[in-house]
Amino acid sequence: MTSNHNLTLTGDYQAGDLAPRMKRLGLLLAALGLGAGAAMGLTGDADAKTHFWFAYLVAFCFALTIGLGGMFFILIGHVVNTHWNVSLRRLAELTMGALPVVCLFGLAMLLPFFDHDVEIWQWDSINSSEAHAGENVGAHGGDASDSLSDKLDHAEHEHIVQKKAAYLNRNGFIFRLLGYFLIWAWIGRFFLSKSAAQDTAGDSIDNVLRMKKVAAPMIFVFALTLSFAAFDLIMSLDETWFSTIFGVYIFAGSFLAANCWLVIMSKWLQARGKMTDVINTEHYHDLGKWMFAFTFFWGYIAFSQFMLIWYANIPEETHFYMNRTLGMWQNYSYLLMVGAFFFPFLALLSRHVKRSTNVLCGMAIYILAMRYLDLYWLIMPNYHRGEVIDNPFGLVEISLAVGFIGLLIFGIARNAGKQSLLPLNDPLLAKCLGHKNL
Amino acid sequence: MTETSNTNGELYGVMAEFDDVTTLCNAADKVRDAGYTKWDCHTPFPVHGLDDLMGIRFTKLPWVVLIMGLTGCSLAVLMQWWMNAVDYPYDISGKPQWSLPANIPVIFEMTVLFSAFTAFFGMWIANGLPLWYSPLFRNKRFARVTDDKFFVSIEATDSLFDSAKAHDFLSSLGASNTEDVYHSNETAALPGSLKGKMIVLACLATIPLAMVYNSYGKTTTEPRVHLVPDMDKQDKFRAQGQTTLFADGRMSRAQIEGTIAQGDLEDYSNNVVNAAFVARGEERFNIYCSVCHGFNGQGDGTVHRRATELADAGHAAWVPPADLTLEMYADKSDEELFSTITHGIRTMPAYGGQIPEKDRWAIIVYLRALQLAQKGEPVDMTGMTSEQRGEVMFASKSCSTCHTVDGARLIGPPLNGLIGQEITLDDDSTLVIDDDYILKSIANPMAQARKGYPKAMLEVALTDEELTDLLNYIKSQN
Repeated sequence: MTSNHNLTLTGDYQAGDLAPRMKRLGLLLAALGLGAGAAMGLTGDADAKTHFWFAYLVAFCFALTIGLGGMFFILIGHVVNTHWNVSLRRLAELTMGALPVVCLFGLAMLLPFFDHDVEIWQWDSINSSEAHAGENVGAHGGDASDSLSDKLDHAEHEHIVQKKAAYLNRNGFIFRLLGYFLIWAWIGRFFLSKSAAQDTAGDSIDNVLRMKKVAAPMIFVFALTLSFAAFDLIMSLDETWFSTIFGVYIFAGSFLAANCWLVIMSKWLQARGKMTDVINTEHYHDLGKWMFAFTFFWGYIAFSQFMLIWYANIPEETHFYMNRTLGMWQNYSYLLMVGAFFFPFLALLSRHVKRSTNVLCGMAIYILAMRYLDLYWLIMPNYHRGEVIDNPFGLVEISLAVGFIGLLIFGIARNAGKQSLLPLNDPLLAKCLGHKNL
Repeated sequence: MTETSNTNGELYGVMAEFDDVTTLCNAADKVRDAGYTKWDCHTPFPVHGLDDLMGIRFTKLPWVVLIMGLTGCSLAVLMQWWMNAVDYPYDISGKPQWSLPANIPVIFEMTVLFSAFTAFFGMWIANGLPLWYSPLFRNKRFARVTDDKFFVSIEATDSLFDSAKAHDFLSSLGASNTEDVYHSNETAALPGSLKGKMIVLACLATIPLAMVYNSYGKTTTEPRVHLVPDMDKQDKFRAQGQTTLFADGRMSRAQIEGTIAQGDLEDYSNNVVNAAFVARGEERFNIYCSVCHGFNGQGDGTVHRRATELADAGHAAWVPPADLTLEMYADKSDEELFSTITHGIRTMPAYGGQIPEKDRWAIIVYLRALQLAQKGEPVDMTGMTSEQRGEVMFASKSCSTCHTVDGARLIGPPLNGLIGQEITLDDDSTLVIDDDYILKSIANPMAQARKGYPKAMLEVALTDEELTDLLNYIKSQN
């Protein structure tokens, strides 16, 4: 391995005054989005508040999965010693570096625990109703008596939750959540700082070797934390349901979202004169290939989960899909199937789509919207679970999603100005710039 | 491979040797610009960008792969629809016979299979592979193409080809050496003797096929050929087989004393007979037994009625199922009935594997109830003549199930006009019916069976007096 002695870089790779502008943009979006969402959601009755918190969870998970996908982008790149993504690496590092900001606001999801009107994770209210026997559980827990999940014998339902109480309890949940956030923050910090240190390290490649060494075990840490965070944040919303593939499902969506985010981010920076000569058609083509591959992988995992449950036909598993085929949720299910799988799969099959960067950027924005839809489809049916309701999607959802995208942008901008946007001194950079797809 | 002038045939083309990639790439660029179309570059390793310099168009293969992938996808749908919904519809727990989610794994596999095969073999075809031989191989220098040299070859079939010009042109591009390459003048045709041998071999090769065809569908007294003897003759213990492993030489082992087989823990001989148990018996009887024996146990189930229709139409002989309400079955012990249900009897198959032990007892209990419920009025035979008593027995001992006395044929021969009739027996001997034959035929029905009737008659246990009465009745119908 040699450093890039004979590599002459002439483009603009410093965020410069773009960083404070991005920061302001992020803050503005976050303040407007979260503020408007809170103004609409938190001032209403218990039902509106519950709706707000579910929408908040979707928006949080949306931003979170983009950041986590960025983390995998970094880790897997180091582990397999790839060269094509080096010029994109700093952007992915910045994306995962935004996780602490996103997670800090994610901690707000703990507030509903202390609000008796709101019930997000029902295992919590079942646990506490068990502790204070006779106390009224939750805002709409009582009036949902004819819902499908309640057709499980109530006592049996409680019995299942009690069996899980050793894992699904308030303290454990908070403790684990903090644990995930700290681990992710550390991984983000470590790779960003080592990578930045390499920029000025001259001939030494110690930083790079260190990153490669740490990346391998961190793949395991990443897989475990992402899976368990998915179990805790999303799967446990339906406290009797379980699917062992669920972590992989969230992972597939995460990495897909991150690749889309990188395409958009690169286009955005290049439109502002940054990185114009270091991210070329070949790199977009490769990002497009990841988008294509993970669109399919996500569909593959989604179907794997569906088919086993459909085939086995066990009520304790099938109610997940029952809830999502009730009333207008069925439209969401079909939209997800066609919109998040069939259309992008067929569209991204073509090499020309992947190599025409504007079209690819359009696909990236579209797929990110589908990523939001996927999380919405996972989380929202637990609000008024199993009941036929009107489509809850509205301004609250849009505001909160905008707010969390603002937070993500702010989190990225916070670190963007501190070093170059390109890993200037990475030993594989020259190879990356000469990269060509056959 | 020696290159000697007397083996050289036609000119294949001109080959130029280059020492490094840069010169080669530059040369490739120039050769393309010169307008040559039948030429190629040869390198020890893949050179990125060389195909662009050579002006090779981007492959159309992806479109072929797409079409074949869609073909595989459609075929998979069609195949599963045809198999599951059309050709062999099979009802499994009332599930739809054709359901898309269940088909998707196969659709996925078939799409991938067709796409991958098309991509792989399509690439071969598009590249003219497999290429066993090229005249370039005849040139000794060309061997270094697998080591450290780079080559450009321009073929003589190119419309712009001119040997001298090509040499000059390639030299001017920095070639370290240029040479003519010739086809071999040896004929590529196969030697005649080899052709003859191959024809003979091909003929011989058809013999096994002919033998297989010949033996196909033929009956034989020879033991069959075991192609996979390990499969046909497995080293395993069969229930009735012999072995030297155990002292008593038997493969099947008796239950070890003091143990009990799984599921045998419950002792069904002490079943509590109550309404629920009888109801269970009724349900099981209606499921398993009624198809033949009828819902009332009178032997008039659906199968019997249909089979009788077929038998009447001359399609097949049919042994009717027993009328279980008859006295002869009422007289049988529970244990005997249990054994019959478990192991089957005559044409009735064994139900031991399908009906759990407890249910078999329940069926017997229900059967007893049926027999009790349908017992006819007792007939007072006092003051009856012998013939009249015989007539009552003819009806009650189920003779009338198979025989008539009006000349009509049911299962067995009609019994009117028997005495003095000359009949043919199964062994083609003839016999004139007398009292003795009738009595013997009742006691041991199949000893001298009549030709042309199914061997279906059961032994009927009768006292001597009853026999006499029956004989007298039959004789009275002469």
